[in-house]
Amino acid sequence: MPVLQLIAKIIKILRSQGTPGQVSAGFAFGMCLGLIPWNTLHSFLIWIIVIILNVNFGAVFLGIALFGSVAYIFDPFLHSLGYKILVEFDFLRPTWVSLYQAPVVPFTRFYNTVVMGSTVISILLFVPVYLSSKWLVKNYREKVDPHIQKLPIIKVVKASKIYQLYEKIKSLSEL
Amino acid sequence: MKYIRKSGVIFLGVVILIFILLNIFFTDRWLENQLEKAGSNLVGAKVEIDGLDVSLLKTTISWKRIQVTHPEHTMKNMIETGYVEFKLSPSALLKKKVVIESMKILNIRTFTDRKTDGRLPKKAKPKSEKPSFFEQQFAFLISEVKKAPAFEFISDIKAIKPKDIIDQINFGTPTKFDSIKNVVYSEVRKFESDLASLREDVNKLKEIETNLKGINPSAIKTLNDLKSTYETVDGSIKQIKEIKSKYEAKLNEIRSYPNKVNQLKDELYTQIKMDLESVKNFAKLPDISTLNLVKYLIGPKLFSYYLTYSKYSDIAEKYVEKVQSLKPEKEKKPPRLKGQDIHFVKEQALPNFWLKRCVLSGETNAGFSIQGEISNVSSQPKLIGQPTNVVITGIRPDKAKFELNLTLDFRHIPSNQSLNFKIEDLPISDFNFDHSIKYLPVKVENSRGNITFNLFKQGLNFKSNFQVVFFKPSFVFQTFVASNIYEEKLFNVIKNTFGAVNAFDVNGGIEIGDGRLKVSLSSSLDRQLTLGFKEAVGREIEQLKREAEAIALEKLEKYKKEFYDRIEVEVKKLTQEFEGYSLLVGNVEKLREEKLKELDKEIKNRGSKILENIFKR
Repeated sequence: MPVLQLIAKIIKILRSQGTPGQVSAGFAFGMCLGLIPWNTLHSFLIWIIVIILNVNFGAVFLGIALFGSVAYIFDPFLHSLGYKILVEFDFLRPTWVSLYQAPVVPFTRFYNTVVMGSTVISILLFVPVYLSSKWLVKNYREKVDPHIQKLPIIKVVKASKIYQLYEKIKSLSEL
Repeated sequence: MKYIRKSGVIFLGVVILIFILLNIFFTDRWLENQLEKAGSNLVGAKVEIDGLDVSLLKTTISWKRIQVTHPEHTMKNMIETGYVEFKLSPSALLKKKVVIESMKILNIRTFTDRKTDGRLPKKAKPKSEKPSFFEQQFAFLISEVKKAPAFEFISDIKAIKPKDIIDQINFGTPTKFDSIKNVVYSEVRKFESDLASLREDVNKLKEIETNLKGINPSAIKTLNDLKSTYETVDGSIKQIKEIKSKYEAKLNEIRSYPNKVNQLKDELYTQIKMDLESVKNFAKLPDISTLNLVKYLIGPKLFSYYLTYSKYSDIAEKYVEKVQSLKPEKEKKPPRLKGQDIHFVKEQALPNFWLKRCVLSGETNAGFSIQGEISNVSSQPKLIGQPTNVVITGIRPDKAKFELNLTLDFRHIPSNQSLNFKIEDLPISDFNFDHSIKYLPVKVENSRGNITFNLFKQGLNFKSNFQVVFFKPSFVFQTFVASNIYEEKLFNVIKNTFGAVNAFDVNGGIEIGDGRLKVSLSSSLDRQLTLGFKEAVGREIEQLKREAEAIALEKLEKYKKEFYDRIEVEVKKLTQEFEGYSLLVGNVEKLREEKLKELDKEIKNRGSKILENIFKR
C-alpha cells in the first residue's frame, strides 16, 4: 500500500497546477533537505528558500521522503566521502581551517563527515535532478497524461459522485 | 514577484515571531534540559540544574543551583553548587565557540544528601571500550590485593587441631614397642624353658636332700656300709655342683637380663621422646616476617582512587587528543547520520571551549571551607598555549587544612599531568577499608591523620608516591562468626594486635614505565602487626603444641605402662623364682657337708671301738 500511495502522490504532483519548473525545483530542494542532516545552518536556509520561493511543496516533501531514505542507506558512503574531503585532501585543508575559524560558517557543521558528504552530493545532484525531473514532468503532462485521462476506468472514477464531491472540497480548499 | 510566495513570507514571519517568543519563554528550560542531559550522560547519574537563566542580549548564563549525583551513591550529590554566573564571549559565539572570560562558583558543597534518587534509568549497556593501559594496570592491582594470600597461613593454622597433628604424625613408638616386646618375650620364653629344665634339676636336688636327710649314720650297721654311704654322699657333690653351675650360669644370665631390659626400656623411652619432639615440631611457627597487611587493608581503596583518576583523566586526554588532532583517525562505524566531527585547529585561534578563569568557594562534606581557582580549561589547549591549572585550598575550624594543585598539560603528545595533594591533621571519623577479608578491620574511627600525595603522569609513564599517617586509630571489625574455636582464637589475636596500635603510617609508590609496573607499599602498621602476630600466633601455636603433646603423651604412656606391666613384671617374676632356687642349692650343699661330717665321725667312732676290742683281746 505505501508504494501505491507513493505512486499516487507522484502522479498527483505531476498533474498539479504548478509549472514543471516549480515541481522540479521543489523536488531538487527536497533532495537537499533529505540528504543533509537537519541540524545545520544551510539546511535551515534551504527551508527558508523553499518557504519563500514559489516551489511545489508536495515535490519538496516527496524529495525529502525519497532522499531521506537514500541518505540513511548510503550513510557509510557519505561518511567516507566527507572524511576524504575533510581530511585526506590536503590542498583543501587551509580552506577548512579558515572556514572553521570564520564567524557563522561553523554553524553549517561542514566539519562533520556526513554533513560534508551529503552537502557535496546535494550540490552535484541539484542541477541534474532539477533538469531531469523538469523533463519528466513536462513529458508526462504532454504525452502520458492525455492517454491516461482517456482510460475508461478513469472516466468511470471521474463520473462518480464521490470524485465530484472530492473535486468540490479541493476547489474550496484552494480558495 | 512570480517566484516569491507571499504566503510563504508571511508564514516565515510568523515562524520567526513564534521562535522569538519561544526563545523568550522556553530557552531557559530547553537549555536546562539539554545541559542536564549532557551532564547526566557524562557523569553517569542525574545532573540537575535549578533556575537556569540565559540572557541572549548580555550573553550571560546563570543558575541558582546545580546538583551532580554521585554515580555510585545515588542518594548523595558528588557536588552541589550555589549561585553560578558566567558571561560568554559574543564574538566567539558567532564562531560556534564557547569562551568564558571569568566564572564564579559559590557555595560549593560536596557529598550532600539528595531528596530523590539520582540514578539514571537503566539503558542498554553501551559497547564497552577497551580499558586503557593505566586502567588495566590499576584493575590488576585491585584484583591482586583482593586475593589476600597473606591469610593463607592463618587459614592453615585455623584448620589445625591437636588431634589432626597426632593423626598426621607417624609415631615410631608402637613399632619400637612391638620389636622390644618380641625380643623380651622370646628371652622370657627361653628363660621359662630354662626354668622348666631347672625345675627338673631342682627335683633332683630335692631328692638328694631327702636322701641326705634320710641318712642316719648310727643306724648303719656295718662299717663297710658307712664307708659306702660316705662315698655315696661324697659323690653327690658332682651332681650338686653340676646342677649348681648350671643354675648359677642361668641365674647370672637372668640377673643381668634386667639391665638389658632397662636398655630396651631406655630405647623405648627415647623413641617416645622422639615422637613427642616430632609433635612439637609439626606445627612450626609460620614465617610472617613479610606480613603485608596494609596492602590488603588500604590497597583496594587506594588503587580504586588511582583507577578513578585514571578513568577520568583518560576520558579528558582522549577527548582533547581527538579534537586537537590534525588528522584524526576515521571512525569505522559512527552512529547512523551522525558522522564524525573533524576539528580544524590553528595556532592562536579560539578553541571550541575555553574557560579562562573560574573562582570557586564552598565547603566540603569533611567541613573544609574551600577556596580555589581553575584556569584555562580548554577543549584545545594547544591553541591557547596554556595548561589547565587547578589550585584549591581548604581549612577547618579545628586547624586541619588541605591543599590541592593539579596541572593538566595536554598541549603536546605525550601529555603531562601532575597532582599534589596534602592534608594535615585531618580528623578521620569514618575511614572505610574496601576489602573482603573477614579477619581485618572494616574501618577506622576517631582518628586523625596526615596525607601527602603526589602524582606525575607523562604519556604512558606514571609515577606516584604517597604517605598517610594515622594517629590513635580505633579499628572497627565486622561481626564475625567463627567456624571453630581456632578461627575464633585467631580472630581475637588479630583484633588484639590491631587494638594495641597507637599510630601508623603508610608509605607507598607506584611507578609504571616501559610497560612495567612497580609497586612499593610499606607501613609501620605492618611492622607492629608482624611483631604482634609473631608473638600472639606463636603463643597460639605453642598452646596447640602443648595440647597435641598431651594427647601424644597419653597415647605413648600406654606403651610405657604395658612395658612395665607385661615385660618388667614377667622378668621380675622369673628372677625371683630363680633366686628362690638358690636357697635350696645352698641347703643341699650344707646338708651334704653335715652328713659327711656325721658319717666321718661315725666311721671314726666305730674304727676306734674296733681297735679297742682288738687291743683288749
